Parts: sequence; structure tokens; C-alpha cells
Amino acid sequence: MTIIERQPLAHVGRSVPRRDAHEKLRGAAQFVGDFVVPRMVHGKVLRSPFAHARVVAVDASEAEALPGVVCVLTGDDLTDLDPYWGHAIKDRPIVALDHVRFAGEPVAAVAAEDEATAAAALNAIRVEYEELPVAGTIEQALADDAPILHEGPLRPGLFHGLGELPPREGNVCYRYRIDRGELESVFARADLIVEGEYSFPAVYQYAMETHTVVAQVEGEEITVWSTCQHPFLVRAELADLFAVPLASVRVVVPYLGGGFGSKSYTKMEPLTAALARKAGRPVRIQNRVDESMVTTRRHGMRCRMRTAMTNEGNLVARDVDCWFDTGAYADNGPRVTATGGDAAPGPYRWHAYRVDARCVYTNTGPAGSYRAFGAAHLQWIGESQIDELARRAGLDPLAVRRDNLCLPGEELRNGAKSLDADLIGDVEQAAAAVGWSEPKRANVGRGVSVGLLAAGAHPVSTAIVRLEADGQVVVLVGTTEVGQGPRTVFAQIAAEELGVDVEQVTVRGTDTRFTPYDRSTGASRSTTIAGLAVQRAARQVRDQLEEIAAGDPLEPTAYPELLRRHFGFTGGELIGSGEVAPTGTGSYAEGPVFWEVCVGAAEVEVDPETGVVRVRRTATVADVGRAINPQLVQRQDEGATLQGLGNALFEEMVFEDGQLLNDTLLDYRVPSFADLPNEMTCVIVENEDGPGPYGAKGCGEGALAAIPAAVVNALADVGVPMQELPLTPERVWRRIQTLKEEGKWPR
Amino acid sequence: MDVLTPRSLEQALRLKAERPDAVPIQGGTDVMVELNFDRARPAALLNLNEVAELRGWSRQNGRVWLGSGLTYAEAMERPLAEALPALAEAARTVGGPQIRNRGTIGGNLGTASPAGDALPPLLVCGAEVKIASVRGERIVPLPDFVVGPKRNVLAEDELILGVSVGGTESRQTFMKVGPRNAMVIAVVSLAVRVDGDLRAAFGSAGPVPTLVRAGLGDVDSFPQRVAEAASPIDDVRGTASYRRHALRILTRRALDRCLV
Repeated sequence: MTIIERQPLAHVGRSVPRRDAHEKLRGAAQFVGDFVVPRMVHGKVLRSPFAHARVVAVDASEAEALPGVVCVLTGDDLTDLDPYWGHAIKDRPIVALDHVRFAGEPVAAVAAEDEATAAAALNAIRVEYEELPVAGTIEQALADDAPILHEGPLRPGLFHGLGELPPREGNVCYRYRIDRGELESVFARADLIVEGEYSFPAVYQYAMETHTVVAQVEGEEITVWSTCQHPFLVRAELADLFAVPLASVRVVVPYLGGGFGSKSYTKMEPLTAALARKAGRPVRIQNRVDESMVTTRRHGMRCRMRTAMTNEGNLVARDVDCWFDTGAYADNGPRVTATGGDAAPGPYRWHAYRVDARCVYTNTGPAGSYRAFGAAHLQWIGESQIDELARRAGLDPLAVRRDNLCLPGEELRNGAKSLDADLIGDVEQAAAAVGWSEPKRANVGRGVSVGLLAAGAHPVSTAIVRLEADGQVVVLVGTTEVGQGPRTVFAQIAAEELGVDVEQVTVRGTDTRFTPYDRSTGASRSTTIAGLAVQRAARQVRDQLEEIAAGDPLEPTAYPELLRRHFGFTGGELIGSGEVAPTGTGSYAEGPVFWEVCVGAAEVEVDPETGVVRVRRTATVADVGRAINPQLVQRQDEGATLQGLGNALFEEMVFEDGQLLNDTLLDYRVPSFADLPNEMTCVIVENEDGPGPYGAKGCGEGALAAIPAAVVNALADVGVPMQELPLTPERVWRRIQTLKEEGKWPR
Repeated sequence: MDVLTPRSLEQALRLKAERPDAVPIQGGTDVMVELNFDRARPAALLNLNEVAELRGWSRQNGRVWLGSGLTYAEAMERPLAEALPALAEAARTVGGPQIRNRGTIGGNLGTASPAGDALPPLLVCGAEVKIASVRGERIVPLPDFVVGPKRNVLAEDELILGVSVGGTESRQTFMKVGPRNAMVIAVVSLAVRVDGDLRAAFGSAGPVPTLVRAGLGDVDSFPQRVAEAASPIDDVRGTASYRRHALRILTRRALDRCLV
């Protein structure tokens, strides 16, 4: 182990208060829903009641004649465009043309002087449908006689980022395969094999703020104020869709009320812009919760997995087939599928593995990104098989991990970045935090889990730092403040580099007309990559200051004087720019930029008579390289832990023939404070082994993959192995009844 | 939509007689959900929040009178919580603090949901509902008041004044099973009271909250009898067989708690 000598830092590593705290606590922070644009009208969307149908006719004449209605948008208004969008696969029309593929798909949209008139006008639109057979589940979509949702070849979108797009096979729109070694011969020689079928439910990200867009179209100039995480990707898709130059599209993003992936890529912007184009006036569309639930969600998944080990405890092979339910349109499904495929083997020293992951169209709402996608789907399955093997071999699950986990520097996947974290140290800390070696009461179990998320953080960011004449600093960077705290972290980085106080630095929202390009706010990339761009931009300003100072000491209080000296009078500013671009060929194959660590532990208690699972303790490891703001790191892990408990214990979107049955927050429940574990520990590990500023790397997603896996393993430690999430009381109770019949309960 | 706000009970009854289509509203935790989801478009709301006669609680001849405007938060406060502990426990599981500050006993009775959290505790305490209209007052025992899922015996000109309950200071408790720890519509809920006889009442396990009684000697068979009295359905929250099973378990545990 190398001893790291730390440079003393003034602002980095300190839990400075959030820069947005006052604004948000006073209720003064502006969100898209607060924006009022002159002449703005209100949009409402007519959505298909059918999960699969042909649209025979749409008659909007009665609705258009209503007083207060400005216009009604239907498929007939899009004949001058190529109306299909989708960043991965261009499979989705702005509004349904002649075919609806999910219940909730936009069929028409109304713009009216007020919301009530727009809502009333929806009832006056006559749509004639001809129902089609529904493929509401993965099984139905893969059946021989399944209705095919999308005919013809698939067209790649602008940002599919997955190399050559394989041809569509029935309803399978994407397939990701990786392998190593001679799988069958390794399995044939193995002593112990565990295999099973598993399912993970579709779940909803539930950001408190629903998708909201205000759009204005004036000639070639398109402006959208949007709740989007990736303003520059939305800009590119709108420019492509409406065939205008990039610079003609302006995307403005204020604070977001949560995202968790639900606002990644393009969502309601094309429809709102098309409606505004027809209305000739700015239009605002704000989804209700039930509308956002069919706008995006997490993929449900089915998986078949087997894992092999020797009697001595050497993990040797793993074989994985999985199917991701991406709903009616691909959205981010291909990337989710690939990331799931990459997560499936887990960070172990396999002799052989094979992963075949498919992304499947079904007649349900489209599925996209949600915190820790892919890893959240697969980690609990792989980790539960390792625990089962350990139990059968009579070995300590922690010891099996210690013996088989890859070490820093080891290659994880052929050609991919080698391991950049101390996973053994991480999992030992997590286990200790839940009292791994302490005696256990009856019905209490403990579990650990280890995984890696190939977050796919695209290494392209630019940032500008302006030093104003009064010594204040403004950072322009395209990262979206979703609640995760980048405005605070970037202020700390700029303050560190320039020697000013954090309070002297201002970081605002994105306006693509003025803010330089940042690829996206996702994949835990902002601190690492955008933060590096900010650091470089700030250093450029510092270099200029040093030049101006010509050897005089660089005191922040003297910056205004230095600027005066340089410009000859009061005024002017120093501008620094920073860029991050891929090194080498820039191919994704050399990625990820870093492996996000997903390590956790849990202690649960089950009530065998009711099946109720109570989570007593959790621990997560934020292996962040360097915590620029430790408190923000902890809050990230805590938020992901709670979402992980929701995913593990009770969240599930229930569909029947493609219809979402629990589309209200009365019936779809997210965790509340009453669901907090008795103890929740976040261990911050700082080995300065990240590629970001000061050795930082991303965090905030890993816990959401680690916690469901740790909970499943803790329950199996009690004697209740589960292969289906969520772990509702009834499901756990039924499992215990089956175990009783098999003579396996109590163990 | 008209919002009618009477300032006295007399005014309220007169308005209800004049506008039988007016939907009574107190905290709005049920009514506003219907409006917000556009499941109901009433021509008028009868806002009862300014009717002082409907508020609060009092002791009357060994029984406790609960005004229809009594909130869940008020039901959780001592000394009422000591007099009616099962109701207080049920109130604690309703919504978050904001909902408990708004939601009322009268509203729970008016909605008459099979999952109404206040109804099982009131049932085991022999609740009698007092109803009034300009035509006069009448008293209906709670088991006769709720006649079906979300249906009660109120005539269109009648309002709920409150309920009178007995069994104060008796051994009683409330339990429920749901996937989440609070603020959840229960998979099944149960109130049990032991006081001269055994009484159990359950919610979410039949079309209406139901009361089951037995003698003190029937402790061992009582859980099974309660489970058999249920007629649950399968829905997104749980299956009928699990609900029946959970009722049996909860009844046994509730008896254990009451019989110590």
C-alpha cells in the first residue's frame, strides 16, 4: 500500500453548506413550473387508453372550435418533419401517427388559454381505435405468435453510443453479449453449481417534480425551459428533429426537483415544441404523476443465472441470460441492457463467463434510466448465488469474497479499464458496520454485497470560469443541479484553485445559449468530469493572475487591483476555460472512466408469521477517491439506500394487459422516514484513486445496487432465499410456506 | 362549483336540505382526492369546518362522544388516547402529520371505505353514529351504518354529528400489515378489545369493516373465527388467502397483547 501525502486544501474535503440551501429553504428557488413566459398558453396531452391499437381516425374539429382553445396537435401536423426521435433508437413519433403501443401514449395535444379549457378540450377530441393483441410482458413479447411492436429495421439515434446496432429480432431491439473462457468445460469441472430464475419489477423513479416543459418556437429559433438532466443532448435531438442548426435551439434548465434518471435524455420536449410550433405561442406542459409514470420508469427484468464454485471456495464460472422490459419505445433501454450485462459477472476472478442480455419491446410505458441501472438489476442475483454457494460449502460469505474479488489493477472485462478500487477493504468495512461477527437473534440475518457499475460516464465536458472586476467568481458549466449538489462542489473546486472563499463563487443553471457544452448529468460523472473541467478553467484564470502579478504575492483580496492593473481601469474580467476530452481513441471500449463501487451490507429481521421484513442496519461504502464535500457524499448514499430499500421491499409497478394498475402515489408507495433502518452507516473511503479533481470519482448510485443485494442476502441468511423482488410481506410469507412444505423451514 | 360554508349546525342542516347534492367536506383528505383525480365533479361542497358543534369530544354517561370533526391528531392526544387506545393507535398509522391534522372521524364514516382506519377501533367499542337533518336526529349502530363498500345509510339531507363509543379504558389494541411502515393503505387492519367478551373488527378484508364477537372462553378458537368471518378479495395490495392468514396471526397477537 502506498502512503498518500496529502496537499493541504482549504475548501476541498470540507462539508461546506450547500450554496442553494437558503434559496430552497425560503421557497425562493425557481423551478420550470414557476416560469411564466409572455403570451404563454397551457398544453394538455390526450393519451391512448389502449395498450396496443391502430389509430383509425382522429377528429379534433369539435375541440378546436371550443372558446379558449388555441390549437390541437395531431399526427397530421407533422408531415413536414421526420417525426421520429429517440437518442438510442429513433423509434418514437412525437405523437402517435397510426399506431399506439402503450396505454398513455400521446395521441394529440391541446393548447388553450388556461389549463381547465385544455383539459375540457381533450374530452372533445374523437379518436377511433382498432384494438390489437397486447404483448404486456416479456414472456408475451417473446412468444412465437407475439404481436411485433415495431416493423422494419431500427434506426440508430444520435447518442446510442453502442457501436454497431444489431438488427432487430422480433421484439428484441438490442442485444449485448460478453464472454470469457471455455464456459461449459469450466462448469463441467466445478464442484458446486447454483442456478435459478429471477425477476426484478418495473419501478418508478418518483422525482417529486414531474416532467415540465415550456417551449417557444419563433421561425428557426426554438427555446425550451425544461426539467431535463442533459440539456445539450435535448438540444441536439430537437435540432435534429426540427431540422435546424444546433445554435438555433436554446435549452434553459433551472433547479430540478429530483431526477434519478427520470429526466435524462429527451422526454416531453419534442411534443411541447411541436405544439408551440403549431400554436405560434409559447406552450407549457406539466405532467401529472400518473403521466410521468408512463413517461419513464425502470426496466422490469427476468433473468436466468448459474454460478459455479470449487469445494475450496474458488469462484470459477457464471452464465447469465437476461431480458429487460423496455416498454413500447427503446428510450435508454440499450444502454441499460449493456450496463446490466457488464454488471452481471460481478468483480470476481472468473475462469469463464457468458452474458447474453436482451432489450425487449412490450406494450407498456417506456423504460429508461434510473439510478444504478443495470447493476441494481443484476447485483442482487449474482451476489445471492455467491452466498448460496458459500452456504453449501460451509464457508463464510465474506471470506469467499475476500478470496475471489479482483484486486486493484486487475482486468475486469476484456479490454475494459482495470479495477481502480480496493473492494476487499470496502466490503470488510461494510460488514463491520452491521456487526458481521456479533451473535444473532433468531430470525435476524446479515448480508453483504459487492458490485461495480460501469456507469458509462462520457468524458466530454467544458467549463468557463470568469473572475469579475470585484473579485467575485462565476462558474459556467452545463451540469444540472438535480439536488445532488454540483453547484456547491464546483464552487468549492473553483474556490480552492483561486484561493477565494466559497461564498465568492456563483454557479448557476444551464442556458445552452451561454453555458459551454457538458455531455450530461448522469452516470455519477459530474464531480469527476465536469469538476475536472471547472478545475482546469479555474487554473487558467490563476495562470493569468500569476502573469499579471509578475511575481507579486497572489492574495485574493488583491485580485481587483490586479485586474485594474491589467485593464488600465475598473472593469474587464479574466476568463478561463477548461476542457475534458477522451484520451486514446475515445472509444467506450476503453471505459468506463471509473468503476463506480457498489458495496453494502444489511441486517434484517423477518417476522415469519406475517412475512414482514424489518431492516435494522444498513451500511454503504462511498469509495469516492476523494470526498470534496463529505456531507454531500453521505446524503447521496443515504438517499440511494432509501431508494434501494424501496426497490427491495415494496416498490413495484403492477401492469395488467399493459395497463398500469397502481398509477397513483396512494397505491405506488415510495419509502418514508418510517422506513429508515434503525442504523444507517455510510463509510467514506478516500484512496485518491479516481480520475477526477483531487483524485475524486463518482458516487451516489452504488448504494442503490448494493442495498437490495445486501437485504436479499440478509434474508437468505435467516433461511429465506428469494428470487423475486420486491420482498413484500405476502411474497416472503409464501416463500416460507413453500420452505416448510419442503422441510427447509425452520432451518 | 359552489362552496357553502355554514357557521352553525342549524345552518348546515338547512343548507344540506336545500342542496342535497352538496358533498360534505371537513379535512378533505378523501373528497379532495376524488376531485383532484377527476373522479367526482360535485355541483357544490358543504364546508363543515366552521361548524363548532361538530368539533371536539366529551365524556357522557360513561361513554365518550366524538364529534364528526375530531381529527386523527386530536385522537392521538391524551387523555382521549388513554380512553380509546385502539383509536389512537389507528390514528398514528394514518398518513403523515399533515393528513392527521386534517382528516376526521366523520370523514372516515362518510367515506365508509372498507379500508377506513378509524372504523375497526370504533366497531370494537360499540360505536353508535348520531345522524341529523332538518327532519330530526337518529342514532344508528355502526355495523348498521356502513352498508357496503363506500356506502352508508345517510339520506341525502343528513349529516353525521358524531359517534358515541363505550369500552373506554378497556384492554384494546390496533394492528395492521402493509408493505411500508406507515402512510400506507393496509393489506389488512385489525382492532381487538377484551372487556367481558372478545371483540375483533377488521378492515380491508371484506366489503365493509366487520365486527366479530365471542365469549372469554373462546380465546383459542377466536383467531380462526375472525379469519373465517372475513371475505377478502385479491387486489394489487394482496391476495385473499394472505389477508385471511394475516388476520388470524394479528388476532392472536392482539389477544396476547390484551390478555397480559
